[in-house]
Amino acid sequence: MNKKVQNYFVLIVMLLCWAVFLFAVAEMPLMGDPGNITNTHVVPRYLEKGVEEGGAPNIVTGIILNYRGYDTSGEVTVIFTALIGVLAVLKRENIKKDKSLVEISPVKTSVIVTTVVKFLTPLIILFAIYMILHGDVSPGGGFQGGAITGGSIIAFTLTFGLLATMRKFRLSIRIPLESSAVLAFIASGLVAMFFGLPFLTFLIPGFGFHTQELIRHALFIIIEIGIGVATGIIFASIFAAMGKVSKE
Amino acid sequence: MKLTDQFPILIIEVPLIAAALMPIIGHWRRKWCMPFATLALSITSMIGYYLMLAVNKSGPISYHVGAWKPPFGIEIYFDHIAAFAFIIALFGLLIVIFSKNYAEHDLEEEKIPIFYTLVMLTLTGMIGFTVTGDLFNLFVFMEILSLSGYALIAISGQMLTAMASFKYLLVGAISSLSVLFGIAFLYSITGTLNMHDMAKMLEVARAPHVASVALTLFVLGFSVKAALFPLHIWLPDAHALAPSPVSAILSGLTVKMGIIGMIRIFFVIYGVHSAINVMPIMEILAWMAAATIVLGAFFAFFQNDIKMMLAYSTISNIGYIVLGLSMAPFDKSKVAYALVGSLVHVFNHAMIKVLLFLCAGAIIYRTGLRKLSDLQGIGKKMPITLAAMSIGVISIVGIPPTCGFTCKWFIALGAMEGGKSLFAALLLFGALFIFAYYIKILNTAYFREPTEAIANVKEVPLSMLIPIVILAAGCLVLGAGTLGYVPIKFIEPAAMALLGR
Amino acid sequence: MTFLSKLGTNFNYVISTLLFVIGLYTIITKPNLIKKFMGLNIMETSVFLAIVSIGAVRDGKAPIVESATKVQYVNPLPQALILTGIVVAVSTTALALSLMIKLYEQCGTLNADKLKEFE
Repeated sequence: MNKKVQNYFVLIVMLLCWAVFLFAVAEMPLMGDPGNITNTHVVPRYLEKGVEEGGAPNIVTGIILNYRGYDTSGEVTVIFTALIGVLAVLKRENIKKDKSLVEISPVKTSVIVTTVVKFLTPLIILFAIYMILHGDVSPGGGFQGGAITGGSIIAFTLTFGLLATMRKFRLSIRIPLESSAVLAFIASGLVAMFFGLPFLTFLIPGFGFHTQELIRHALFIIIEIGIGVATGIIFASIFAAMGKVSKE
Repeated sequence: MKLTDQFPILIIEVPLIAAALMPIIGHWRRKWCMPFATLALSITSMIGYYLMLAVNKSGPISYHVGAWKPPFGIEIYFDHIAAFAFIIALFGLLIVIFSKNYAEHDLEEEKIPIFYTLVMLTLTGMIGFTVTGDLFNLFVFMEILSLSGYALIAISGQMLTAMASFKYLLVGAISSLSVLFGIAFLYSITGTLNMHDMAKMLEVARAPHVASVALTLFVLGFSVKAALFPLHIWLPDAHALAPSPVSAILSGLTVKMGIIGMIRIFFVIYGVHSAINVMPIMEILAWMAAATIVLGAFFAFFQNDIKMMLAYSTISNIGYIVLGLSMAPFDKSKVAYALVGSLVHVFNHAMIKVLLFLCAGAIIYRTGLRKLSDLQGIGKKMPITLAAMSIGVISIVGIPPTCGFTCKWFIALGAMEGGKSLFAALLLFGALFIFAYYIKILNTAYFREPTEAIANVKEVPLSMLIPIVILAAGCLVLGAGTLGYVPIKFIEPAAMALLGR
Repeated sequence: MTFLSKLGTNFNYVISTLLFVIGLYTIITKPNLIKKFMGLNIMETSVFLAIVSIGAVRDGKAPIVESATKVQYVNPLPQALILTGIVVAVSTTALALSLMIKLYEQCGTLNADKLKEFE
């Protein structure tokens, strides 16, 4: 009973908080109005010059990689931190000692599931590659592609078990790939620094127009691939660390 | 651009590169992790030192990442407050040197590279948080430092650490979200994310309710990070159960990020001009801070666990800092004693608390005991560690020849000047309480006969002694004599700039 | 404009703030750690909804420039911010889940009231 009274008290406090929020909401600029300050102050530059300056018809990709590229660099660091954090709490799986629930389960996975997964996994990874490389002209990009790759690896693990999957991704390959996103960002940032420009500048003067564009695209693709590969492998590694069952 | 012009970004990127390479190095040669971390942090500290001198000489440095002008791209703004990045790098270096023996002794072998990676990541996050000039970037760095902080608490894998870490994660995630929501509100009325541009736009935006709600959300979020009184519940467990080098990082450096966030919000974004808007919040903060001082000191007095005591003392000291901040005078006739005092105390408390936690870590490393009642007569067995700890204790109480005195004196002066003598009295009361509980440590350490349990205890190895001795010397040198005025001289222009003078 | 009609136009923010307090209520009152964490995820979603709504423009198109003709696009910046926000949320979730696995291994329960007895 005491607990219930407590809950009602919390509920009332929360509703009061909501009421306070509503005062602010009523004062906020009207939603969807093209004349709002958010649409007139900084953003017009992105929309007008985004294609030539940002280097991608998809303005969101241009902002993520170019105007606010440093945020994205922080973002890949956050994912990397999450992986290292999970490993600090749970430890990495050890192929010699650990198995997954799939392997110790008494029921065998059905033939239909194994066949379908075997058939689909390469196709899913192919789609992920398309997603990664096509991010600058359509919705998509490194993170989305990486998430799809990670999903396909997880599906594979769920059907064939930890041993079969992680034998294909050895630790000595996985560890460098996990940090590849952070390293790709830093490396392409350092290219500009080498030419005496601020970090993460992609348009490097002193070359012809086409060479400039080529360098910029090359740097973008390095970053996108780095993000895609790292995200996929990090998701797989987190899953492996969480899904392991010690044999003893 | 010369290489020195790139320093504001390199101070973030050097530890980040080290963090990204650390797992690879650790997989290849486990022994090289610690030297590599030391190397990276030495470079970072040198860069930080250069930047600090440059700021002191010629004012704030603005660096445009990606060559985009501020409202469009991300700006790194290295001002006097951001010089705290140098302190983070330097103390991080000392803590890493200290951790060498801890990591080999207490951690499983495969967790050693993970430990150093997390330490580098959390330092990167903190350095980024202090130097960035973009509000959303600040949020991203806040997440980096928080996530690595949560993981570091649970790294030893002992019972209860996971629970302490989860508690911290839950509260910390709520605080991050309220900061993010605050950013969303502010963005909707200013249309920009750059702090200085936001301050300009906020003056013309006619939306006082939105601005106040956003400010409340920011204050809530950063008070959790800084562990102000009603929101401090996560701190004692997290700081006491974490491994000692991690406690030093969390207690000395991470909680200060809440303070730096508040400084950025109050003085850079909301600024002097909307002071009317800020004032009631300042009043509430002052009361919260006063409660924090008294209750932190009160709880610390009754602890028997040495690290628990230090954790509560952190809460109490955060109260001093926030009290000083909240009494910053916005009218020009007054001298900003309180603000200067609290800014200096941010630095001083970092130094003292890192020293104390490292000393506690050294004692636990040698004896395996953490109850004060078990450690009777330890001063005779580990003379250097305990001498350093005594210096730390004297500093944190604020007895004149050490560094703790000046800042508390300044905060008290500010309180008197602002006509708030009640707060000055509370401050004195808190100091007395702190004195009482630290006397307990000194009493057990020196004036009791050693017990059986610690009969064979030796002094800690050199790699642990060096950081302790350096920090203790720092407490003495920066407290008295000609060097004693260095922090105040450095901070004064910063305080003036924050108040828009 | 009256208070209510403004609330009607800013409907997304109303729902978003409501979700925010619902999430907070869940975190405070539910004893199960997984439920607490779901509350946190509700809060995260509410903030994302608010930020995406800031970027909405009436009759706006997705900000992918295909021709030089002048079209009204939606604001691309909040979308870019949200991508970062989602990644941060995923990372927090991963870490929290691993902590919960560890807690369950050590204590055999995820009920906050029962976990208190271990302290």
